[in-house]
Amino acid sequence: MENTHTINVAKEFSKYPGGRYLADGDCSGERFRNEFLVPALRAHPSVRVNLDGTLGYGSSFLEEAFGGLVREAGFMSKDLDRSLILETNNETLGYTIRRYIAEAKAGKATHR
Amino acid sequence: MGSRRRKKDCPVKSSQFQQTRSVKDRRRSHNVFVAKDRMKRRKASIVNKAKKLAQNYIFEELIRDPITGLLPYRIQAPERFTIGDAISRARLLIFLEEIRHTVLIEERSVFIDFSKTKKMIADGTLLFYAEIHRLIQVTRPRQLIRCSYPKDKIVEQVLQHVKVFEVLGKRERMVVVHDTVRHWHSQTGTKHQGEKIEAIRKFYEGNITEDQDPSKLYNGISEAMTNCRHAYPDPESLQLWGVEGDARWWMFSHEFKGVLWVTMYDLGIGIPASLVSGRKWSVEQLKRWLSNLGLGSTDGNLINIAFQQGSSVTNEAYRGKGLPEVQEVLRQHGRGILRVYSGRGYYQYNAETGLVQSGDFIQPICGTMISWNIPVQDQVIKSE
Repeated sequence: MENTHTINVAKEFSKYPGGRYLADGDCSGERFRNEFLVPALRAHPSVRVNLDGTLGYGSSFLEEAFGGLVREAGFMSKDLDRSLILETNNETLGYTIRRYIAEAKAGKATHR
Repeated sequence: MGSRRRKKDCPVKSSQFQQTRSVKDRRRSHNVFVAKDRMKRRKASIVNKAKKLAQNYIFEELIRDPITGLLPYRIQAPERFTIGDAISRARLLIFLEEIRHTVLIEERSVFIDFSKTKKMIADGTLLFYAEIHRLIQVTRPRQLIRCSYPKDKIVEQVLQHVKVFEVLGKRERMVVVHDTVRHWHSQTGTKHQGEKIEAIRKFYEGNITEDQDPSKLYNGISEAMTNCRHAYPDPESLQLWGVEGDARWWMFSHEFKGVLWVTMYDLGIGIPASLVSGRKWSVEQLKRWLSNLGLGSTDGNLINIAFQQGSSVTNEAYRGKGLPEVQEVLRQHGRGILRVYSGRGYYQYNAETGLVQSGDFIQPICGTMISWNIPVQDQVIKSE
């Protein structure tokens, strides 16, 4: 088993991610979490997510995909800090995802 | 002598007689000509009237409802299609209410007369398009709404270009060339469809500067699209006068002088209702509490609260990011204007000045309309 598994969102999932729940569309955060993030995190000690190459990310998608790992899939935010590596040229994007994970753990409101 | 005179006189008299006859003949022939001409004109006029009657008859037969046999109810479209000013908004909403009532309650066909329409602005046009699109969907396969061609050529180009004619089954006869029309782009869908955002980017390729971050456009539209989907939280919200619809959104985009306008609309429950959805209290109770606290209790104020709090259709704290996200995109950009209409309320945010305005109109709209602009060309940012 390789130590780090890489997921390239644009190549493996979609260039157009968006929406929160499965009902919102085919490229929703819930689908990405259930079909890509959760299986990869359960099978590998660390997962590298390459976020570049898409047209963008709506906050609903990001919150459900990454915040949902703590809230819905039962991962600990402390563990995700270690096991989840975010690869992106956009610093704000990485920071936003980390915030969603941390706030989902704390269970506090993430809206502004 | 006397006979000679008579003989002499005779030719004179004869020529006078002949002269008199020829004048009379000429007059008679002239009168005959005039009478014939009059007859010809009368005949032409009768033929024209008959042709017109036949044309009207054929036209009426074409637009006559095949089931009820009734002629459609003629409704005059307003002069201006916009919801941004009180008078035009009232006229447009009364016009739409008349169409809805005739089609859904009376189940009678309508004929929209666009002859007096002179100005079509994106917000009012999108509202009209969405309402017509949904009415056509719920009354299918009956074609209950038809329309005339507008007198104004630009209005005709708009109606053709944004697919109103396509929805109403009207033949498209114009070449869309006008600068203020050809850069309009219309989309509709029921889910989050990122490919449609890409289609907008491709449509404006060449007008959008390459080094502009495409995620700014994508993130805003993506969240607005998701928000529209969540505007129909239960099966009841999908119903229009008891007829089942779908969780649909409609979108217009419009690029003009380096600024891209995006307008999205849904026919869902609206922001004021979404604030109390899933809670024990009603919109009226919420307004009363706000009023008691000395805060504004209008729909406009509720939209303002939705932006401040990020509240949404559920009580879940992690949700309700849609509205603030769009505003955040503009705030980060430092430019652009955001406008939201829902129920009676409106909300406006100017990213350059940070100024927020909200208020109420008299007539409410169904659902929520969100409209924002972003500069898409560097030179515009520099020159302005």
